[in-house]
Amino acid sequence: MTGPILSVSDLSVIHGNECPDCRTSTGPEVGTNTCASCGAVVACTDVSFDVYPGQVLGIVGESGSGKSTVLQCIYQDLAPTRGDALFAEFEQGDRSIWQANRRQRRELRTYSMGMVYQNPRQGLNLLVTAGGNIAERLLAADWRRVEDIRDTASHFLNRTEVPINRMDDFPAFFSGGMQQRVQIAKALANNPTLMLLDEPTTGLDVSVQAGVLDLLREIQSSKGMTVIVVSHDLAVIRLLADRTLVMRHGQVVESGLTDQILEDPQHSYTQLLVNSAA
Amino acid sequence: MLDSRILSVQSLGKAITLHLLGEKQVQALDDVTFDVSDGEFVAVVGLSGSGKSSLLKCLYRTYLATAGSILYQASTGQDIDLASASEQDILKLRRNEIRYVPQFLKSAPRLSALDIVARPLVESGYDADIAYSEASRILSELGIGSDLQSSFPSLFSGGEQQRVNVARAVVAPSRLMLLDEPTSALDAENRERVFHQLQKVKDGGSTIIGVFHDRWLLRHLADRVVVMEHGKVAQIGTRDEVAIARYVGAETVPAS
Ligand SMILES: Nc1ncnc2c1ncn2[C@@H]1O[C@H](COP(=O)(O)OP(=O)(O)OP(=O)(O)O)[C@@H](O)[C@H]1O
Ligand SMILES: [Mg+2]
Ligand SMILES: [Zn+2]
Repeated sequence: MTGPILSVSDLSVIHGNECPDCRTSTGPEVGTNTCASCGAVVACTDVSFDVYPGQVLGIVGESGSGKSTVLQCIYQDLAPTRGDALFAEFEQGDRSIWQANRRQRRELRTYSMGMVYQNPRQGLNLLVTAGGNIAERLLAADWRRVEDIRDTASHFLNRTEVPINRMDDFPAFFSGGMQQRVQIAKALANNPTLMLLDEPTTGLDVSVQAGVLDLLREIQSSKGMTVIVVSHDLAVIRLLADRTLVMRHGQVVESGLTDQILEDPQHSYTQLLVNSAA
Repeated sequence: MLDSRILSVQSLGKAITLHLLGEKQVQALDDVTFDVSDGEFVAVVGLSGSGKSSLLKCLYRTYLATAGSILYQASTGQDIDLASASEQDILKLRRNEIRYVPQFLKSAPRLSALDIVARPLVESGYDADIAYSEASRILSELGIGSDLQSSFPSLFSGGEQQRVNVARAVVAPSRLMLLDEPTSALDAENRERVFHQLQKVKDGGSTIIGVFHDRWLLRHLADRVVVMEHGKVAQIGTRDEVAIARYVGAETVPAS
Protein backbone atom coordinates (compact mmCIF):
# COMPACT_ATOMS: atom_id res chain seq x y z
CA MET A 1 0.00 0.00 0.00
CA THR A 2 1.16 3.52 -0.68
CA GLY A 3 2.40 5.58 2.21
CA PRO A 4 1.39 9.11 3.15
CA ILE A 5 2.18 12.01 0.87
CA LEU A 6 2.48 14.33 3.85
CA SER A 7 3.27 13.38 7.39
CA VAL A 8 3.07 16.08 10.05
CA SER A 9 4.37 15.35 13.51
CA ASP A 10 4.22 17.35 16.72
CA LEU A 11 3.47 20.68 15.11
CA SER A 12 3.34 23.51 17.61
CA VAL A 13 2.89 27.21 16.97
CA ILE A 14 3.27 29.55 19.91
CA HIS A 15 2.87 33.30 19.54
CA GLY A 16 4.83 35.08 22.25
CA ASN A 17 7.56 33.99 24.63
CA GLU A 18 7.07 30.38 25.49
CA CYS A 19 7.30 29.27 29.11
CA PRO A 20 7.38 25.78 30.67
CA ASP A 21 3.66 26.05 31.57
CA CYS A 22 2.41 26.78 28.05
CA ARG A 23 1.66 23.14 27.28
CA THR A 24 -0.21 22.32 30.49
CA SER A 25 -2.06 25.60 30.91
CA THR A 26 -3.73 25.48 27.48
CA GLY A 27 -5.83 23.01 25.50
CA PRO A 28 -9.33 21.55 25.47
CA GLU A 29 -9.28 20.42 29.11
CA VAL A 30 -8.22 23.86 30.31
CA GLY A 31 -10.58 25.61 27.91
CA THR A 32 -8.20 28.24 26.56
CA ASN A 33 -5.28 28.65 24.22
CA THR A 34 -3.73 31.50 26.17
CA CYS A 35 -1.07 30.53 28.70
CA ALA A 36 -1.99 31.91 32.13
CA SER A 37 1.66 32.07 33.21
CA CYS A 38 3.24 33.93 30.32
CA GLY A 39 0.36 35.18 28.19
CA ALA A 40 1.56 33.44 25.04
CA VAL A 41 -1.10 32.30 22.56
CA VAL A 42 -0.66 28.62 21.90
CA ALA A 43 -2.23 28.45 18.44
CA CYS A 44 -1.59 24.72 18.17
CA THR A 45 0.39 22.05 20.00
CA ASP A 46 1.47 18.52 19.20
CA VAL A 47 -0.62 18.25 16.07
CA SER A 48 0.23 15.08 14.15
CA PHE A 49 -1.46 13.53 11.13
CA ASP A 50 -0.84 11.81 7.82
CA VAL A 51 -2.34 12.67 4.46
CA TYR A 52 -2.57 9.94 1.83
CA PRO A 53 -2.46 10.41 -1.94
CA GLY A 54 -5.85 11.01 -3.52
CA GLN A 55 -7.55 11.46 -0.19
CA VAL A 56 -9.19 14.42 1.50
CA LEU A 57 -8.36 15.22 5.10
CA GLY A 58 -10.79 17.51 6.89
CA ILE A 59 -9.88 19.66 9.88
CA VAL A 60 -12.89 20.90 11.80
CA GLY A 61 -13.17 23.02 14.91
CA GLU A 62 -14.48 26.30 16.21
CA SER A 63 -12.99 29.69 15.55
CA GLY A 64 -9.55 29.99 17.15
CA SER A 65 -8.99 26.24 17.45
CA GLY A 66 -5.84 26.40 15.33
CA LYS A 67 -7.11 24.94 12.06
CA SER A 68 -5.85 27.71 9.80
CA THR A 69 -2.56 27.84 11.66
CA VAL A 70 -1.91 24.25 10.60
CA LEU A 71 -2.60 25.03 6.94
CA GLN A 72 -0.54 28.19 7.00
CA CYS A 73 2.44 26.24 8.30
CA ILE A 74 2.12 23.65 5.55
CA TYR A 75 1.89 26.38 2.90
CA GLN A 76 4.80 28.16 4.59
CA ASP A 77 2.90 31.35 5.27
CA LEU A 78 3.85 30.82 8.88
CA ALA A 79 6.93 29.27 10.50
CA PRO A 80 6.12 26.73 13.21
CA THR A 81 7.68 26.89 16.65
CA ARG A 82 8.50 23.21 16.31
CA GLY A 83 7.46 20.10 14.47
CA ASP A 84 8.24 18.26 11.27
CA ALA A 85 6.41 17.82 8.01
CA LEU A 86 7.69 15.23 5.61
CA PHE A 87 6.36 15.76 2.12
CA ALA A 88 6.86 13.27 -0.69
CA GLU A 89 7.85 16.03 -3.14
CA PHE A 90 10.49 17.55 -0.92
CA GLU A 91 13.75 15.60 -0.77
CA GLN A 92 11.84 12.32 -1.03
CA GLY A 93 10.33 12.98 2.37
CA ASP A 94 13.71 12.67 4.11
CA ARG A 95 13.78 16.16 5.60
CA SER A 96 11.08 18.41 7.00
CA ILE A 97 9.71 21.10 4.70
CA TRP A 98 10.18 23.46 7.63
CA GLN A 99 13.91 23.11 7.17
CA ALA A 100 13.71 24.19 3.54
CA ASN A 101 15.52 27.32 2.46
CA ARG A 102 13.75 30.26 0.89
CA ARG A 103 14.16 29.10 -2.68
CA GLN A 104 12.91 25.63 -1.84
CA ARG A 105 9.95 27.05 0.02
CA ARG A 106 9.04 29.14 -2.97
CA GLU A 107 9.33 26.09 -5.22
CA LEU A 108 7.03 24.08 -2.98
CA ARG A 109 4.41 26.81 -3.12
CA THR A 110 4.81 27.29 -6.83
CA TYR A 111 4.95 23.72 -8.08
CA SER A 112 3.66 21.36 -5.44
CA MET A 113 0.93 23.06 -3.44
CA GLY A 114 -2.09 25.23 -4.05
CA MET A 115 -3.93 27.26 -1.44
CA VAL A 116 -7.45 28.64 -1.41
CA TYR A 117 -7.93 31.19 1.35
CA GLN A 118 -11.17 32.02 3.09
CA ASN A 119 -10.76 35.62 2.03
CA PRO A 120 -10.22 35.89 -1.75
CA ARG A 121 -8.16 39.03 -1.10
CA GLN A 122 -5.43 36.83 0.30
CA GLY A 123 -5.26 34.52 -2.69
CA LEU A 124 -6.02 36.98 -5.46
CA ASN A 125 -4.74 40.30 -6.59
CA LEU A 126 -8.06 42.05 -7.05
CA LEU A 127 -6.51 44.75 -9.19
CA VAL A 128 -5.18 42.29 -11.73
CA THR A 129 -7.62 40.66 -14.16
CA ALA A 130 -8.96 37.18 -13.50
CA GLY A 131 -6.82 35.83 -16.31
CA GLY A 132 -3.86 37.90 -15.09
CA ASN A 133 -4.10 36.33 -11.65
CA ILE A 134 -3.68 32.90 -13.14
CA ALA A 135 -0.92 34.13 -15.42
CA GLU A 136 0.99 35.41 -12.37
CA ARG A 137 1.06 31.94 -10.95
CA LEU A 138 2.10 30.36 -14.24
CA LEU A 139 4.82 32.96 -14.79
CA ALA A 140 6.19 32.17 -11.33
CA ALA A 141 6.44 28.59 -12.52
CA ASP A 142 8.48 29.76 -15.54
CA TRP A 143 5.77 29.54 -18.16
CA ARG A 144 6.81 31.84 -20.99
CA ARG A 145 4.57 31.45 -24.02
CA VAL A 146 1.71 33.91 -23.88
CA GLU A 147 -0.63 31.66 -25.86
CA ASP A 148 -0.05 28.74 -23.49
CA ILE A 149 -0.67 30.95 -20.49
CA ARG A 150 -3.85 32.33 -21.96
CA ASP A 151 -5.12 28.91 -22.98
CA THR A 152 -4.43 27.50 -19.54
CA ALA A 153 -6.06 30.45 -17.81
CA SER A 154 -9.19 30.11 -19.89
CA HIS A 155 -9.19 26.34 -19.40
CA PHE A 156 -9.18 26.64 -15.62
CA LEU A 157 -11.65 29.52 -15.50
CA ASN A 158 -13.91 27.40 -17.64
CA ARG A 159 -13.33 24.45 -15.32
CA THR A 160 -14.38 26.50 -12.31
CA GLU A 161 -17.35 27.92 -14.21
CA VAL A 162 -16.21 31.51 -14.44
CA PRO A 163 -17.63 32.92 -17.70
CA ILE A 164 -14.76 33.28 -20.14
CA ASN A 165 -15.94 36.73 -21.15
CA ARG A 166 -15.02 37.86 -17.62
CA MET A 167 -11.41 36.76 -18.03
CA ASP A 168 -10.16 40.27 -18.65
CA ASP A 169 -12.20 41.85 -15.87
CA PHE A 170 -10.98 42.68 -12.39
CA PRO A 171 -12.09 40.25 -9.64
CA ALA A 172 -12.67 43.27 -7.40
CA PHE A 173 -15.99 43.63 -9.20
CA PHE A 174 -16.97 39.94 -9.02
CA SER A 175 -19.42 38.42 -6.57
CA GLY A 176 -17.93 36.55 -3.60
CA GLY A 177 -18.76 33.19 -5.18
CA MET A 178 -17.10 34.12 -8.44
CA GLN A 179 -14.00 35.50 -6.67
CA GLN A 180 -13.74 32.17 -4.91
CA ARG A 181 -13.99 30.34 -8.24
CA VAL A 182 -11.18 32.46 -9.67
CA GLN A 183 -9.10 31.70 -6.61
CA ILE A 184 -9.72 27.99 -7.08
CA ALA A 185 -8.79 28.25 -10.76
CA LYS A 186 -5.56 30.03 -9.80
CA ALA A 187 -4.69 27.40 -7.20
CA LEU A 188 -5.39 24.61 -9.68
CA ALA A 189 -3.48 26.14 -12.58
CA ASN A 190 -0.11 24.61 -11.67
CA ASN A 191 -1.64 21.22 -11.15
CA PRO A 192 -0.54 21.03 -7.52
CA THR A 193 -0.04 17.69 -5.82
CA LEU A 194 -1.49 18.98 -2.57
CA MET A 195 -4.42 21.38 -2.41
CA LEU A 196 -5.06 23.34 0.77
CA LEU A 197 -8.51 24.80 1.32
CA ASP A 198 -9.11 27.20 4.21
CA GLU A 199 -12.86 27.69 4.72
CA PRO A 200 -13.43 27.68 0.95
CA THR A 201 -17.14 28.48 1.25
CA THR A 202 -17.39 30.49 4.45
CA GLY A 203 -18.81 33.91 3.79
CA LEU A 204 -20.67 32.86 0.66
CA ASP A 205 -24.46 32.75 0.39
CA VAL A 206 -25.83 29.32 1.15
CA SER A 207 -26.99 28.79 -2.43
CA VAL A 208 -23.56 29.79 -3.76
CA GLN A 209 -21.81 27.57 -1.20
CA ALA A 210 -23.47 24.45 -2.60
CA GLY A 211 -22.19 25.17 -6.09
CA VAL A 212 -18.60 25.87 -5.00
CA LEU A 213 -18.56 22.77 -2.80
CA ASP A 214 -19.86 20.56 -5.53
CA LEU A 215 -17.31 21.96 -7.92
CA LEU A 216 -14.51 21.22 -5.45
CA ARG A 217 -15.79 17.73 -4.87
CA GLU A 218 -16.08 17.04 -8.55
CA ILE A 219 -12.59 18.38 -9.36
CA GLN A 220 -11.11 16.45 -6.46
CA SER A 221 -12.64 13.14 -7.46
CA SER A 222 -11.97 13.48 -11.17
CA LYS A 223 -8.30 14.43 -10.66
CA GLY A 224 -7.77 12.20 -7.62
CA MET A 225 -6.32 15.28 -5.95
CA THR A 226 -4.94 15.20 -2.43
CA VAL A 227 -6.61 17.84 -0.29
CA ILE A 228 -6.59 19.24 3.23
CA VAL A 229 -9.77 21.19 3.88
CA VAL A 230 -10.28 23.33 6.95
CA SER A 231 -13.79 24.33 7.96
CA HIS A 232 -15.88 25.06 11.00
CA ASP A 233 -18.83 23.75 9.00
CA LEU A 234 -19.58 20.05 9.37
CA ALA A 235 -21.55 20.06 6.12
CA VAL A 236 -18.37 20.94 4.20
CA ILE A 237 -16.45 18.22 6.00
CA ARG A 238 -19.22 15.68 5.39
CA LEU A 239 -19.25 16.37 1.70
CA LEU A 240 -15.52 16.50 1.05
CA ALA A 241 -13.43 14.68 3.64
CA ASP A 242 -12.50 11.00 3.83
CA ARG A 243 -10.89 11.43 7.23
CA THR A 244 -11.29 14.20 9.76
CA LEU A 245 -9.37 15.77 12.63
CA VAL A 246 -11.31 17.65 15.28
CA MET A 247 -9.39 20.51 16.89
CA ARG A 248 -10.09 22.57 19.95
CA HIS A 249 -7.97 25.18 21.73
CA GLY A 250 -4.96 24.23 19.67
CA GLN A 251 -5.10 20.47 20.09
CA VAL A 252 -6.49 17.52 18.18
CA VAL A 253 -9.24 16.04 20.36
CA GLU A 254 -10.24 13.27 18.00
CA SER A 255 -9.63 11.90 14.53
CA GLY A 256 -11.20 9.22 12.40
CA LEU A 257 -13.09 8.34 9.25
CA THR A 258 -15.43 11.24 8.54
CA ASP A 259 -18.65 9.25 8.78
CA GLN A 260 -17.46 7.79 12.08
CA ILE A 261 -16.63 11.23 13.47
CA LEU A 262 -20.09 12.46 12.46
CA GLU A 263 -22.14 9.46 13.54
CA ASP A 264 -20.12 8.09 16.44
CA PRO A 265 -18.19 11.01 17.92
CA GLN A 266 -16.17 9.95 20.94
CA HIS A 267 -15.06 13.20 22.53
CA SER A 268 -17.56 15.39 24.38
CA TYR A 269 -16.57 18.38 22.27
CA THR A 270 -17.22 16.49 19.02
CA GLN A 271 -20.56 15.32 20.39
CA LEU A 272 -21.45 18.92 21.08
CA LEU A 273 -20.34 20.00 17.61
CA VAL A 274 -22.33 17.26 15.89
CA ASN A 275 -25.41 17.82 18.03
CA SER A 276 -25.51 21.54 17.49
CA ALA A 277 -25.23 21.07 13.73
CA ALA A 278 -28.12 18.61 13.59
CA MET B 1 -13.74 -28.24 1.39
CA LEU B 2 -12.86 -24.60 1.38
CA ASP B 3 -14.11 -22.42 4.18
CA SER B 4 -16.75 -20.29 2.51
CA ARG B 5 -17.18 -18.01 5.50
CA ILE B 6 -16.82 -14.34 4.52
CA LEU B 7 -17.66 -12.75 7.87
CA SER B 8 -17.42 -13.85 11.45
CA VAL B 9 -18.89 -11.51 14.04
CA GLN B 10 -17.66 -12.50 17.49
CA SER B 11 -19.01 -11.11 20.77
CA LEU B 12 -19.48 -7.73 19.16
CA GLY B 13 -20.43 -4.97 21.55
CA LYS B 14 -21.14 -1.30 21.08
CA ALA B 15 -21.53 1.01 24.05
CA ILE B 16 -22.17 4.68 23.40
CA THR B 17 -21.28 7.25 26.02
CA LEU B 18 -23.36 10.42 25.82
CA HIS B 19 -21.07 13.02 27.36
CA LEU B 20 -23.69 15.73 27.02
CA LEU B 21 -26.30 13.74 28.94
CA GLY B 22 -24.44 13.21 32.17
CA GLU B 23 -22.20 10.46 30.74
CA LYS B 24 -25.23 8.28 30.11
CA GLN B 25 -24.33 4.88 28.64
CA VAL B 26 -26.30 3.25 25.88
CA GLN B 27 -25.61 -0.39 25.05
CA ALA B 28 -26.47 -0.52 21.36
CA LEU B 29 -25.03 -4.00 20.79
CA ASP B 30 -24.20 -6.70 23.29
CA ASP B 31 -22.36 -9.94 22.63
CA VAL B 32 -23.48 -10.29 19.03
CA THR B 33 -22.09 -13.42 17.39
CA PHE B 34 -22.84 -14.91 13.98
CA ASP B 35 -21.14 -16.05 10.78
CA VAL B 36 -21.99 -15.26 7.19
CA SER B 37 -21.07 -17.46 4.24
CA ASP B 38 -19.83 -16.12 0.95
CA GLY B 39 -22.81 -15.32 -1.30
CA GLU B 40 -25.36 -15.56 1.47
CA PHE B 41 -28.30 -13.18 1.91
CA VAL B 42 -28.77 -12.47 5.59
CA ALA B 43 -31.78 -10.43 6.69
CA VAL B 44 -31.61 -8.57 9.99
CA VAL B 45 -34.97 -7.96 11.65
CA GLY B 46 -36.05 -6.59 15.01
CA LEU B 47 -38.13 -3.93 16.66
CA SER B 48 -37.18 -0.29 16.50
CA GLY B 49 -34.15 0.38 18.68
CA SER B 50 -33.04 -3.24 18.78
CA GLY B 51 -29.64 -2.47 17.24
CA LYS B 52 -30.09 -3.34 13.56
CA SER B 53 -28.54 -0.18 12.15
CA SER B 54 -25.85 -0.15 14.83
CA LEU B 55 -24.85 -3.61 13.69
CA LEU B 56 -24.53 -2.56 10.04
CA LYS B 57 -22.68 0.59 11.06
CA CYS B 58 -20.18 -1.39 13.11
CA LEU B 59 -19.58 -3.67 10.13
CA TYR B 60 -18.90 -0.60 7.98
CA ARG B 61 -16.90 1.09 10.77
CA THR B 62 -19.17 4.09 10.87
CA TYR B 63 -19.47 3.00 14.50
CA LEU B 64 -16.42 1.99 16.49
CA ALA B 65 -17.05 -1.34 18.18
CA THR B 66 -16.32 -1.30 21.91
CA ALA B 67 -16.00 -5.09 22.29
CA GLY B 68 -15.45 -8.16 20.18
CA SER B 69 -14.26 -8.56 16.63
CA ILE B 70 -15.55 -8.65 13.06
CA LEU B 71 -13.37 -10.92 10.98
CA TYR B 72 -13.82 -10.29 7.29
CA GLN B 73 -12.19 -12.53 4.75
CA ALA B 74 -11.07 -10.14 2.07
CA SER B 75 -10.96 -11.09 -1.60
CA THR B 76 -7.20 -11.41 -1.18
CA GLY B 77 -7.84 -14.23 1.29
CA GLN B 78 -6.55 -12.13 4.16
CA ASP B 79 -8.56 -12.03 7.39
CA ILE B 80 -9.17 -8.43 8.48
CA ASP B 81 -10.80 -7.39 11.75
CA LEU B 82 -13.11 -4.60 10.66
CA ALA B 83 -13.39 -3.48 14.28
CA SER B 84 -9.71 -2.69 14.58
CA ALA B 85 -8.25 -2.40 11.06
CA SER B 86 -6.42 0.79 10.13
CA GLU B 87 -8.39 3.64 8.58
CA GLN B 88 -6.45 3.15 5.37
CA ASP B 89 -7.40 -0.54 5.21
CA ILE B 90 -11.03 0.34 5.85
CA LEU B 91 -11.04 3.00 3.12
CA LYS B 92 -9.51 0.52 0.72
CA LEU B 93 -12.15 -2.11 1.51
CA ARG B 94 -14.89 0.48 1.11
CA ARG B 95 -13.48 1.42 -2.27
CA ASN B 96 -13.08 -2.13 -3.50
CA GLU B 97 -15.39 -4.54 -1.77
CA ILE B 98 -17.67 -3.32 0.99
CA ARG B 99 -20.59 -0.99 0.34
CA TYR B 100 -23.05 0.50 2.77
CA VAL B 101 -26.42 1.67 1.50
CA PRO B 102 -28.20 3.98 3.91
CA GLN B 103 -31.96 4.08 4.18
CA PHE B 104 -32.24 7.38 2.42
CA LEU B 105 -30.31 9.02 -0.35
CA LYS B 106 -27.68 11.49 0.78
CA SER B 107 -26.50 13.20 -2.31
CA ALA B 108 -24.53 16.16 -3.39
CA PRO B 109 -26.47 19.15 -4.68
CA ARG B 110 -26.57 19.84 -8.42
CA LEU B 111 -26.41 16.20 -9.43
CA SER B 112 -29.20 14.60 -11.43
CA ALA B 113 -30.47 11.12 -10.60
CA LEU B 114 -28.58 9.86 -13.63
CA ASP B 115 -25.33 11.53 -12.50
CA ILE B 116 -25.67 9.97 -9.08
CA VAL B 117 -26.21 6.48 -10.39
CA ALA B 118 -23.53 6.72 -13.09
CA ARG B 119 -20.90 8.05 -10.70
CA PRO B 120 -19.88 4.73 -9.08
CA LEU B 121 -19.26 3.32 -12.56
CA VAL B 122 -17.31 6.36 -13.72
CA GLU B 123 -15.25 6.25 -10.56
CA SER B 124 -14.41 2.62 -11.12
CA GLY B 125 -13.11 3.45 -14.57
CA TYR B 126 -15.96 2.91 -17.03
CA ASP B 127 -16.38 5.15 -20.05
CA ALA B 128 -18.94 7.86 -19.40
CA ASP B 129 -21.10 6.58 -22.30
CA ILE B 130 -21.31 3.09 -20.90
CA ALA B 131 -21.78 4.33 -17.33
CA TYR B 132 -24.65 6.59 -18.29
CA SER B 133 -26.47 4.08 -20.43
CA GLU B 134 -26.14 1.43 -17.73
CA ALA B 135 -27.34 3.91 -15.09
CA SER B 136 -30.29 4.85 -17.25
CA ARG B 137 -31.22 1.21 -17.82
CA ILE B 138 -31.22 0.41 -14.09
CA LEU B 139 -33.20 3.52 -13.22
CA SER B 140 -35.80 2.60 -15.83
CA GLU B 141 -36.02 -0.92 -14.44
CA LEU B 142 -36.70 0.65 -11.07
CA GLY B 143 -39.50 2.72 -12.54
CA ILE B 144 -37.63 6.04 -12.73
CA GLY B 145 -38.39 7.31 -16.22
CA SER B 146 -36.14 9.45 -18.37
CA ASP B 147 -37.70 12.78 -17.38
CA LEU B 148 -37.05 12.07 -13.70
CA GLN B 149 -33.60 10.75 -14.47
CA SER B 150 -32.40 14.15 -15.55
CA SER B 151 -33.82 16.07 -12.60
CA PHE B 152 -32.61 16.54 -9.03
CA PRO B 153 -33.49 13.83 -6.49
CA SER B 154 -33.92 16.45 -3.77
CA LEU B 155 -37.24 17.20 -5.50
CA PHE B 156 -38.32 13.54 -5.60
CA SER B 157 -40.79 11.71 -3.38
CA GLY B 158 -39.40 9.51 -0.61
CA GLY B 159 -40.03 6.34 -2.58
CA GLU B 160 -38.42 7.74 -5.74
CA GLN B 161 -35.36 8.83 -3.78
CA GLN B 162 -35.12 5.41 -2.26
CA ARG B 163 -35.14 3.79 -5.69
CA VAL B 164 -32.37 6.11 -6.87
CA ASN B 165 -30.48 5.04 -3.77
CA VAL B 166 -30.98 1.37 -4.65
CA ALA B 167 -29.99 2.01 -8.26
CA ARG B 168 -26.75 3.60 -7.14
CA ALA B 169 -26.05 0.60 -4.93
CA VAL B 170 -26.77 -2.11 -7.47
CA VAL B 171 -25.25 -0.43 -10.53
CA ALA B 172 -21.80 -1.59 -9.45
CA PRO B 173 -22.40 -4.28 -6.83
CA SER B 174 -19.63 -4.88 -4.36
CA ARG B 175 -18.54 -8.12 -2.76
CA LEU B 176 -20.28 -7.36 0.53
CA MET B 177 -23.37 -5.16 0.54
CA LEU B 178 -24.79 -3.71 3.75
CA LEU B 179 -28.34 -2.47 3.17
CA ASP B 180 -30.24 -0.50 5.77
CA GLU B 181 -33.97 -0.73 4.99
CA PRO B 182 -33.76 -0.08 1.27
CA THR B 183 -37.48 -0.76 0.82
CA SER B 184 -39.04 1.08 3.75
CA ALA B 185 -40.77 3.76 1.68
CA LEU B 186 -41.93 1.60 -1.21
CA ASP B 187 -45.28 0.28 -2.35
CA ALA B 188 -45.72 -3.34 -3.39
CA GLU B 189 -45.01 -2.74 -7.06
CA ASN B 190 -41.79 -0.89 -6.43
CA ARG B 191 -40.74 -3.36 -3.79
CA GLU B 192 -40.91 -6.01 -6.45
CA ARG B 193 -38.74 -3.91 -8.73
CA VAL B 194 -36.17 -3.61 -5.95
CA PHE B 195 -36.51 -7.32 -5.31
CA HIS B 196 -35.53 -8.10 -8.90
CA GLN B 197 -32.47 -5.87 -8.62
CA LEU B 198 -31.38 -7.46 -5.37
CA GLN B 199 -31.96 -10.90 -6.80
CA LYS B 200 -29.60 -10.04 -9.64
CA VAL B 201 -26.97 -8.80 -7.21
CA LYS B 202 -27.29 -12.01 -5.25
CA ASP B 203 -27.07 -14.13 -8.39
CA GLY B 204 -23.94 -12.19 -9.27
CA GLY B 205 -22.33 -13.65 -6.14
CA SER B 206 -22.44 -10.71 -3.73
CA THR B 207 -22.98 -11.33 -0.05
CA ILE B 208 -25.81 -9.21 1.30
CA ILE B 209 -26.62 -8.27 4.88
CA GLY B 210 -29.74 -6.16 5.01
CA VAL B 211 -32.28 -4.76 7.43
CA PHE B 212 -35.76 -5.53 6.12
CA HIS B 213 -39.29 -5.14 7.37
CA ASP B 214 -40.90 -6.77 4.42
CA ARG B 215 -42.04 -10.34 4.86
CA TRP B 216 -42.50 -11.05 1.18
CA LEU B 217 -38.98 -9.90 0.40
CA LEU B 218 -37.60 -11.89 3.29
CA ARG B 219 -39.33 -15.03 2.14
CA HIS B 220 -38.04 -14.72 -1.39
CA LEU B 221 -34.53 -13.52 -0.81
CA ALA B 222 -33.20 -14.29 2.66
CA ASP B 223 -31.15 -17.40 3.19
CA ARG B 224 -31.02 -16.72 6.90
CA VAL B 225 -32.58 -14.31 9.34
CA VAL B 226 -30.95 -12.69 12.37
CA VAL B 227 -33.49 -11.45 14.92
CA MET B 228 -32.20 -8.63 17.13
CA GLU B 229 -33.67 -7.76 20.52
CA HIS B 230 -32.26 -5.16 22.92
CA GLY B 231 -28.89 -5.21 21.18
CA LYS B 232 -28.56 -9.00 21.29
CA VAL B 233 -29.18 -11.75 18.79
CA ALA B 234 -32.46 -13.30 19.93
CA GLN B 235 -32.75 -15.87 17.17
CA ILE B 236 -30.85 -16.90 14.10
CA GLY B 237 -31.71 -19.44 11.47
CA THR B 238 -33.18 -20.04 8.04
CA ARG B 239 -36.27 -18.03 7.21
CA ASP B 240 -38.43 -21.04 8.06
CA GLU B 241 -36.75 -21.69 11.38
CA VAL B 242 -37.18 -18.32 13.04
CA ALA B 243 -40.42 -16.71 14.13
CA ILE B 244 -40.41 -13.33 12.46
CA ALA B 245 -44.09 -12.43 12.68
CA ARG B 246 -43.51 -9.80 15.36
CA TYR B 247 -40.86 -8.00 13.41
CA VAL B 248 -42.14 -7.72 9.88
CA GLY B 249 -45.26 -6.36 8.29
CA ALA B 250 -48.08 -8.46 6.97
CA GLU B 251 -47.35 -10.17 3.72
CA THR B 252 -48.21 -7.94 0.82
CA VAL B 253 -47.93 -9.86 -2.39
CA PRO B 254 -47.04 -7.67 -5.34
CA ALA B 255 -49.92 -7.33 -7.74
CA SER B 256 -48.72 -8.86 -10.96
N1 LIG C 1 -0.23 36.07 14.68
C1 LIG C 1 -0.92 35.73 15.77
N2 LIG C 1 -0.69 36.28 16.96
C2 LIG C 1 -1.36 35.92 18.05
N3 LIG C 1 -2.33 35.00 18.05
C3 LIG C 1 -2.60 34.41 16.89
C4 LIG C 1 -1.93 34.74 15.68
N4 LIG C 1 -2.42 33.98 14.68
C5 LIG C 1 -3.36 33.20 15.23
N5 LIG C 1 -3.45 33.47 16.55
C6 LIG C 1 -4.34 32.84 17.49
O1 LIG C 1 -4.16 31.44 17.39
C7 LIG C 1 -5.39 30.80 17.58
C8 LIG C 1 -5.66 29.84 16.41
O2 LIG C 1 -5.96 30.59 15.24
P1 LIG C 1 -6.41 29.97 13.87
O3 LIG C 1 -6.51 31.08 12.91
O4 LIG C 1 -5.52 28.86 13.50
O5 LIG C 1 -7.83 29.45 14.24
P2 LIG C 1 -8.93 28.78 13.29
O6 LIG C 1 -9.23 27.48 13.90
O7 LIG C 1 -8.50 28.80 11.89
O8 LIG C 1 -10.12 29.77 13.54
P3 LIG C 1 -11.26 30.35 12.51
O9 LIG C 1 -12.26 29.30 12.44
O10 LIG C 1 -11.73 31.58 13.25
O11 LIG C 1 -10.57 30.67 11.24
C9 LIG C 1 -6.44 31.92 17.78
O12 LIG C 1 -6.62 32.13 19.18
C10 LIG C 1 -5.78 33.12 17.17
O13 LIG C 1 -6.24 34.33 17.74
MG1 LIG D 1 -9.44 29.67 10.18
ZN1 LIG E 1 3.44 30.06 28.85
